Amino acid sequence: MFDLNTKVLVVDDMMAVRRLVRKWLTAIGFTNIEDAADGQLAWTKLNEAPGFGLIVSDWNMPNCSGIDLLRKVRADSGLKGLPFLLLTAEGEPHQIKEAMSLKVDGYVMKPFTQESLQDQLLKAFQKRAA
Amino acid sequence: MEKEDRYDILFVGLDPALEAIAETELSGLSIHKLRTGEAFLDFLDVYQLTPGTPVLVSNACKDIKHFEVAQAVSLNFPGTRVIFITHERKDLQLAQLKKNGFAESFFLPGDGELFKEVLADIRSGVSGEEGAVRRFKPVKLVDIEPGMHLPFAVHTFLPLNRKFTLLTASGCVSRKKAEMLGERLVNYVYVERTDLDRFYEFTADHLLALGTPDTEAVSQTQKQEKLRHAVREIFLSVLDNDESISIEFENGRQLMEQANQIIQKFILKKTGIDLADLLKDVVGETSDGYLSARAVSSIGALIALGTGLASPEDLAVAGLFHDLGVLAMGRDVTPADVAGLTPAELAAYHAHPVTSVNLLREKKITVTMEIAAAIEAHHERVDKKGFPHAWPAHKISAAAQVLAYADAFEYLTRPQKGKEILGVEEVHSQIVRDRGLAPEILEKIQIFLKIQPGGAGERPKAG
Repeated sequence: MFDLNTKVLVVDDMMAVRRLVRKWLTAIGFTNIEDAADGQLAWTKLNEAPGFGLIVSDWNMPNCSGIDLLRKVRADSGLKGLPFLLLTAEGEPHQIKEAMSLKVDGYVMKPFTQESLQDQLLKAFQKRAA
Repeated sequence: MEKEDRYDILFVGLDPALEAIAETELSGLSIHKLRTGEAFLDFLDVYQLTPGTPVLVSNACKDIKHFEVAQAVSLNFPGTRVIFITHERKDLQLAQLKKNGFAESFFLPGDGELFKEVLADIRSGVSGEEGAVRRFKPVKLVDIEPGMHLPFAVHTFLPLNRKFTLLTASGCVSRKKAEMLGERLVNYVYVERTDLDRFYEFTADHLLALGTPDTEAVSQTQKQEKLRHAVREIFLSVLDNDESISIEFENGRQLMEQANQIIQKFILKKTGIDLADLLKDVVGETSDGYLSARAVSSIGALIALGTGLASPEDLAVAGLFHDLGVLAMGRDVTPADVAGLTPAELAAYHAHPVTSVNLLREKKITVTMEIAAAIEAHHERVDKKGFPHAWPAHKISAAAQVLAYADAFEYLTRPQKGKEILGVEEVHSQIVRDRGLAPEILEKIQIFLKIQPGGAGERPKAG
């Protein structure tokens, strides 16, 4: 199981989706959740407010996409170990390869449910614990 | 706290004029109107909608976009029918609307009559089965000639005023009608749901007749070319994104189902094998893999029929059972899932082609050596980097490679909300790049699909 005290950053340019992901993460048991409307704002938050233990990010966003954010996180010596989940409709092999090469911890394919989100979170944490 | 108030329909972001039109047509129904993004977001937090509830969405909310409303409704309330209405033609970006979760769209006043018909369907509590829009199904007629007997009436759709009109009644096709039905004039035609089975029978019979050898060499060559053309038309229709059929966004699977039905009848007539029964017995109709297995079976059989690379019957059966080993893992595993598998799951996934063959034996399903070999080798690659055995090229049969192609094709073209519809060139080039198939096999498929060498469609943006 994962540590429900983990500080989570939810990144999506759609407020309704952010709220829904927050709602579902809360239902799963997470208590410390923040959000950002794109990868650029997320990057600022990650640098200004340390302590995040998980990022759940949409792929396709203006300014800085989910994959760009993942690239930045993995290139940063302080943040590179952060578990990173992508919410995505990108199911094409070369895109998956790109995300895999950046050590993404899991995908949640759109449209998703609370169960599929929880399932992927569990898998990501189990893989890291193994 | 979640409430379960029984609203019959939800309005989000409709301007007063649209609200008035819809309310008049929907009198007597319980309507809930949300006029701001904030109210909509609050609604999501508190209420539940039952699957099937229609949600009418327009873009009058200043603080939220209609795309966001559709995504949020689809995620929060799976199974709701999200309908977009607009006064602006520029807003009718069908691919974007579909990607974000809209099921239907209407431009007013142009689509006024059709929109009223849909509202009348909603009002009468009919889920759409009896509505004008859903009474007709898009189909692709192949190789119609004067003198043929059509056992069903054919309609066409007039996109500008979105109306169906009769092209020809059932019966003998005149020369003039045959020309009208020819591909130069009419791409898609429509038949009534009640006539669909007759359409499938007719097409399967026609494919069989074209595939039956003739004594005259010239006639035989012509027939083979006609067969290839007919099969190509059916094949390509499963991923057609023609605007004339996009009035029903969900029709990706319907067009696949059309190919399934034609192939099923073709195989039944040719060999006596009932693919549907076979699949139901082994996989189960409610299984996650049922639709995918049927589609791979049909795609494989069509490629085999169109290229002559393998027996269509072998591909039809191999396609049904190639992923039994994945189903046995208790979950669907797509290429997108592979990265998230545990080591044990990954080992099971890499063994699944062998597991599929073993399961067929356990279930006492007798298949030919060719079919078993195709299933076992459908993830092998000619560069010896495949699985489960990393076999060299000479051990991977043409049937196995056609199955691999069909497997990848089905995955890449599987309709999914939020997933862009790819063109055939794009799908082909991805398979060429990723599946490790022999160049001579790919070349034959490329010729069959009439893809230009090295040609790949523009990559659409995915969400």
